[in-house]
Amino acid sequence: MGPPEPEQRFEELYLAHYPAIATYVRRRSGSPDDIADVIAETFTTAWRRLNDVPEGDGARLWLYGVARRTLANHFRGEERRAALAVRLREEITTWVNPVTGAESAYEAFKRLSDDDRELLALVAWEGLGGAEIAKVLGCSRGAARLRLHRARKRLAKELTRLDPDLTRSGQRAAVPAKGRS
Amino acid sequence: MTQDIDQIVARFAAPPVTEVSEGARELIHEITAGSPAPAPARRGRRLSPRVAIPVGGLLTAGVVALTWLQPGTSASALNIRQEGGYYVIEIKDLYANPKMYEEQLRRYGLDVSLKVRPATAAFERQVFPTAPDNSFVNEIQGINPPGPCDMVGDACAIGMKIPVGFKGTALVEVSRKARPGEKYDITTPWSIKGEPMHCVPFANKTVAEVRAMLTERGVRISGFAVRDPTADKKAGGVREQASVPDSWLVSGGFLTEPGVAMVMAQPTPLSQRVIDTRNKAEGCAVS
Repeated sequence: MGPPEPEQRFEELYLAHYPAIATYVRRRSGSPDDIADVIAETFTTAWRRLNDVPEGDGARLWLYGVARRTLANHFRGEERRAALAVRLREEITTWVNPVTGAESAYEAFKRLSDDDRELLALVAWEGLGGAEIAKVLGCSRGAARLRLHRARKRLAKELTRLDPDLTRSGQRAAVPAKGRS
Repeated sequence: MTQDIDQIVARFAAPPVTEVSEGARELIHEITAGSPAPAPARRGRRLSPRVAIPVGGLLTAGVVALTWLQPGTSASALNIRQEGGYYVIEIKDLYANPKMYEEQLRRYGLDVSLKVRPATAAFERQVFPTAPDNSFVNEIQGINPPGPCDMVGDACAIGMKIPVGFKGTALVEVSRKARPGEKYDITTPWSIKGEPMHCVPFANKTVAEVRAMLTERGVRISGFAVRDPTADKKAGGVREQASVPDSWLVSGGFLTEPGVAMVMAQPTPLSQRVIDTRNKAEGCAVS
């Protein structure tokens, strides 16, 4: 059947996935300007490559992948303040950020490589499984699972190093207060 | 350990964004109005016909004049010669069995398949090479005649070239003119440059008015595409029907074969913003 108007299709894509992508970006960049820039750039890429965006839930994973690369390039590149998203930028300044910096476990997390942090975050923050992570990162499922396993081990090691008392057995690394599910 | 670690990491997550705010809604229109229209798909899409929505970029390339798109009678389907580090390829028989192209390319050590597909006017001369993972293959290029190509999607090719020693695997889709009555494999909105309704002010005109505009251009209507939220998402949320009231308003359309169009219509008008955005992207006057 025929093509929907690209503007309409884009709007549907945007409305369906904006919360997930904005959340993804919010959790990975510091300043409101960075967040607004990366959201705007991610969706601009989606508009230009609209015909490559997969259907269904694949679209979300595709957008995560774009947002991930946009974040990496954004921080490598020069400071850019796009004229886009002026109002969004103002709104983002009112977002309240959680206090995470004080926790020693957070210090351990920050010590990991970007790749390790991203793997762990995709599981714990975005709730993705191995196959989905593989799509976001553009690697095989096996590679994603292996890399995730290693990232978890490295965080456990960092936690032990940081606070041996907390993880005396070396196994039950820093059991969160709310317990395990 | 796995669950513990994941739960620890989960504690560091900033709260989720749960709504599309006003500022986020504004960004939708900023993006569509301020950036070029979507480029053609890089993967083979499953829709039939393939709908290619072109980007407005212009490329100038090619210096070799070849006679492409002429049905040939020679025994070989392709004419291949070596020049400047490239195999320069001319398709002599556009209607040959794809296996013939493939066998000939194999003899040059190329793992390249070639498919010639009937396309709507805007894409009659497009060369579109992709790898098995659907990524675009930059090494394989169309050869344009001298001078700039002002067709969307750089669809001006009269030949193509592949680097000598190209080791990749590629599928090259080449578009050709459709024969009368032949359905297009590749089509695009009728308002794109090269198509019959380019820069024609049809948007929000009634079906009756647009039918007259089409008749003037030798195009008849075969059916209507109507937005339907319950329709299959893969079909773009539209369903096809044979007729709609003549008073309905037209938002767009596309040709399905030479001289035959599918019209997109609905009872309510498009916003002027959408029309202006589209006109701007297609290089037409904005009201």
